[in-house]
Amino acid sequence: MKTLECIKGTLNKILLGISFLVMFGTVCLSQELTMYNLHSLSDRHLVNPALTPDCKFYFGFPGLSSINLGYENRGMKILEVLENTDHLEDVLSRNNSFGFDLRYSPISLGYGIGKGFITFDISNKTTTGISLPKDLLYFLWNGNKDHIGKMADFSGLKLQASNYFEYSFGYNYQLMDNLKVGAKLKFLRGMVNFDTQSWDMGIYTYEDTYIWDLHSNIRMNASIPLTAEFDDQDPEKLHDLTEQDLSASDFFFGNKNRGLGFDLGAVYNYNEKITLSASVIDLFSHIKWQSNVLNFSQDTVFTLEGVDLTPYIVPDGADDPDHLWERLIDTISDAFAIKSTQESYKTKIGPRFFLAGDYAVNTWLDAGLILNGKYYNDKLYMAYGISGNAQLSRFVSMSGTFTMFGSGSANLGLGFAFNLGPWQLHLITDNILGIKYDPKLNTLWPATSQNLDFRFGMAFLFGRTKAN
Amino acid sequence: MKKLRHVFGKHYPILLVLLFIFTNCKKEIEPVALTYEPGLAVALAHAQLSLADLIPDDDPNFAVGQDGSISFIYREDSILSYSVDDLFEIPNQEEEVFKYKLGEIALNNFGPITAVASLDDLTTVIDTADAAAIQALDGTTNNLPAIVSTYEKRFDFDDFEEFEYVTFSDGWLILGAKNNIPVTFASAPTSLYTIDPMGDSTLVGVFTFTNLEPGIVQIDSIPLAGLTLYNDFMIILNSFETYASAGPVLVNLSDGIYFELNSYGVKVIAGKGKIPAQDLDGVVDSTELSAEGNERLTLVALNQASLHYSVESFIDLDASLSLELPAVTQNGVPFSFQFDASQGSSGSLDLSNSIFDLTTNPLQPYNFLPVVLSLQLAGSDTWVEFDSSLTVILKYEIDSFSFDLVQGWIGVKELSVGPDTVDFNFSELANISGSIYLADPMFHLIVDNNIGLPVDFSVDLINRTNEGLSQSLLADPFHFPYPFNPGEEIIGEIVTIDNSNSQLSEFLSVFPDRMVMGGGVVTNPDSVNTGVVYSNFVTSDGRVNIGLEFELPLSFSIQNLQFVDTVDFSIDDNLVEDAFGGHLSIVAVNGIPFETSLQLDFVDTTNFQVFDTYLIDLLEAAPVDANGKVTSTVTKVSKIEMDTDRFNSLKNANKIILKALVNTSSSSTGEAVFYSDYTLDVRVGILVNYSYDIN
Repeated sequence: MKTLECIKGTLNKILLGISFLVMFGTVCLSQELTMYNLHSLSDRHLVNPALTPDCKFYFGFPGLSSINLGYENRGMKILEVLENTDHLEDVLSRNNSFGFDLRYSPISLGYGIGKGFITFDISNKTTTGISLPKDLLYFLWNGNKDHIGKMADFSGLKLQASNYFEYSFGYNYQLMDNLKVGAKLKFLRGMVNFDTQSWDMGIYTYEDTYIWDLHSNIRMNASIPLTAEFDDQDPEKLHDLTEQDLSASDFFFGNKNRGLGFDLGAVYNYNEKITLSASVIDLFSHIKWQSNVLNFSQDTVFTLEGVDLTPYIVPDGADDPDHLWERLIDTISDAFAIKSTQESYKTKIGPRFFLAGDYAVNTWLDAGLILNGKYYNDKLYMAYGISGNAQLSRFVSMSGTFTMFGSGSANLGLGFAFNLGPWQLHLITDNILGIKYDPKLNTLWPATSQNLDFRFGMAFLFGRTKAN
Repeated sequence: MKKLRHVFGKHYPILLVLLFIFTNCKKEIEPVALTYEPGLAVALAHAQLSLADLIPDDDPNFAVGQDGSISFIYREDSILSYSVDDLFEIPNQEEEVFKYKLGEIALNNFGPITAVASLDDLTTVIDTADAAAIQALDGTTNNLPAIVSTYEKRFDFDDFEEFEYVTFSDGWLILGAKNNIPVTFASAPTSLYTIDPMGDSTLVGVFTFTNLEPGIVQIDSIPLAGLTLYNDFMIILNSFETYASAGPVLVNLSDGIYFELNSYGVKVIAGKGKIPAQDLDGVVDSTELSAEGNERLTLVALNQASLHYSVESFIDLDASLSLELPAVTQNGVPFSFQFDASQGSSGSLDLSNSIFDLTTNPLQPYNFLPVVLSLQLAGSDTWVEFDSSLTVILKYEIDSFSFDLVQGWIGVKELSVGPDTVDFNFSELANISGSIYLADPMFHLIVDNNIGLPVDFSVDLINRTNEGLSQSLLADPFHFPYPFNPGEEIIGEIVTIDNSNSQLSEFLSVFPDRMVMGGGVVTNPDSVNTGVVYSNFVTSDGRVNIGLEFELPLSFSIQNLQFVDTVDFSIDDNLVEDAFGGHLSIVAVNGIPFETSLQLDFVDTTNFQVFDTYLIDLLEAAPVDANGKVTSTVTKVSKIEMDTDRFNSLKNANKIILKALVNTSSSSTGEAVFYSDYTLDVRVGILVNYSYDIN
């Protein structure tokens, strides 16, 4: 029993930890361009279900099948910002997003049947993303000294974060000699989610008086594994959140946060030299959040005029000046009171697509073009890559990708797959130079990089073709 | 190399090239020097005031007129109060002594007492022969011859008991003679004597009877006044002569002349005798009901008073003395009292509920109190020695006066108040200089008065400053309203002190260090011209209460009114550790016709060193029109710059000398009028620029 309790406690901590991560991490929508062209990689079906590993059967190393860690930011470069704190207005974009992505697949396996190949994966995905308005970042760094007489507009802030399990069943089939198609059906089970529906907020600072006109119209949904208690008097006032006592089955299967998704892909061998491929990942993917749901909303217009001394000056006014600030804080707290309800909601997982063309230079080297697009926050983010892919030996294959982003930045990605018998180890990054070392801080950090992506995994492949 | 080739294939140089590129790429960044310098501007505090807000609904000190103008009202229910006891009282009266002399008293008429001069006795003083002849006729009817005697013959009267001796003051002594002898006496001169106990006789009077016919009674009388008689009388028949009878008559020697002595209307003034019961005449006297001063009282209605008396009698008679105060009625009945005067007595009389009418003397129609004394003798059956000079002495005094009403003329009294000096040890006042000129101030003296007495009240107030400046109120004397008839009263009648009867504005314009207060009260101030008018009245509950009500319309001008204060100051060293700058921003939207500037001197009072001075033009006065009313608001923005250096310079300061200078609107030369809808909106914001070196 103690063991079970320990497991429960651990699970709860994991969930809360994920919640924390979701809250404070940022979304990464990793590009996976390098991975796309690493031919011997068993996990290529993750980016195109029509891409099958070069084996009859594989399964991921239990617990370490693949781990994918990614970071991405858009609209600003951190180092550039830090170097230009005096001119933030020049280096910040209107919206500046940050993302963090963690995908962990403990179980992954595939098996070829005739012209087809089936796959099954269990993954836990954490995707977090926050989009910060320029004025908000400016405000956080400079205060409002440069916004006196102007509006600091914090509208557009978005926070989208999810942790969910993905159970995917894939199948591809050699439809024609030169055409292979594939599809995946994904069952999703959400664990934690934060999703900003709308965020309209701003502060106008009046000249001389420095009065703040604040407006805030926010709607946000969340599903967190905590039990909500509401105020007896006000059913829309959240009173407390308490930890849930979850069993292992509750943890994995107990909630009703369910969803579906699809991956579609195709590979077309135009001729012996040229191969074209395309895929759509997470098509129509969504999760309907029905458990542990909280809907937060706030619609406030508030003028912060400082402490109102009037009652302390006029006769018969307040007679307790010791609590001036407490009362002001209470007033603000009341004004910005958050209404909470518990109504289910749906979140979509932004779809991605890949278009690739590959040209076989010779038997061990090919070059390719790859185009990647993904929707995030209703925007399409594009990346364009040129890759070189080499099967250096039976044991080693590699892929190098030069990626250009729509924002203008560029990355150099590199991936290796090492095959020692059936055991395969892969190490992939889309930005091999993305991490910089700051000798002063004695730490690594992305600096000017807007994209980081690391993938690591192990698998056992059986029935590889000899030619490979 | 073979192993490398075995693992990575023959194209391993590609790896080497990539490795070379990777290792030679720049992977370090130049350290960034970061200084966090946010600047936060935020509102700290604000206050929106209208003058109406500053006036509590139930504040009796402010009033808002229909036009919205504000007046400052101060009400003190009683600044001067006196009761009738402070003004007037009837003192305990000095002892009055009345002597009642016995004087003449009535005495019972004494008599009749008789004496008989028989024919037989008469024959003793005539010729013996004639006497024998007549004696021979005794018992016969014969002609009786004329008889003549020239000799005196004494006859004694019977004694009587009315007195032993008395001296008469009035009355008549009547002597009657009846002739029972059957012949006419031509003349019979008779002398009456009173005989004292020693046997000595005193002639009382001579009576002459002529032609006293038989059977006829002749009467003669003499006045008794001035005579002293004893109760033993005799008559002496000095001579006599009879006619002969005209015919035979029955001669009886026992027949004679019967003398009878009577008295009438007897009054005596001394002696010893039996005193009949009698009321002696009253004696009218008078006294005055005295007051403290020159009051002239016409009527006093007493609620309470006591008359203490003592009676001493020198008359050895049972008697009672009556005191009557005819001008005094008690419960509607004229006041009188009988004292026992026999043995003397003493006691107290209650004069409660009595009314004194002090106007019964037309020559002195005030304070006059008539007194009537009378004596009642009980009478005696035995002789009592008496004398008219004997007295009964009545002494009395009246005290413990408590009156319900006094009417008359209280007199002209001058009561002075003060001068007293009040030192205002108000540090606040000591810190204020400059002047305020109130345009139309008013003091109201609120009079409650039920004393029917005209009073003039003069107030002499002088404000003085330590600098030698002084300002007197110079107020005219005030006539207090008063009721004209008992039962009436003045309630809440207002006497106004304003600029028309004083220099009130000037007086209020001086912030005094001390005030010299004096004054006086004069009663019946018009009597000098009108003479005495008996129209004053006071009642037992008479009371004058003077309340004070300031009504100061807030219409004034201020010139360089300066408040100075010193407050402790210290600054936390940790506060200025990190560099910062900024300012306090004060935005005042002023709808009040004041302009205010502040000067803050940060000083070390130990070394008399000024470290910094902040000058803040805080408020700009709102402009006013010709009527002194604000026409628009004025916005004034004041910035108080702060930075680390400036704060550091204040570390050694221990005091702030705060000087606030206030003036009314300079756009008008007149007074500014304050209305309840004037507003002042003050907002304080702060802009802090903070600098923190993250590195």
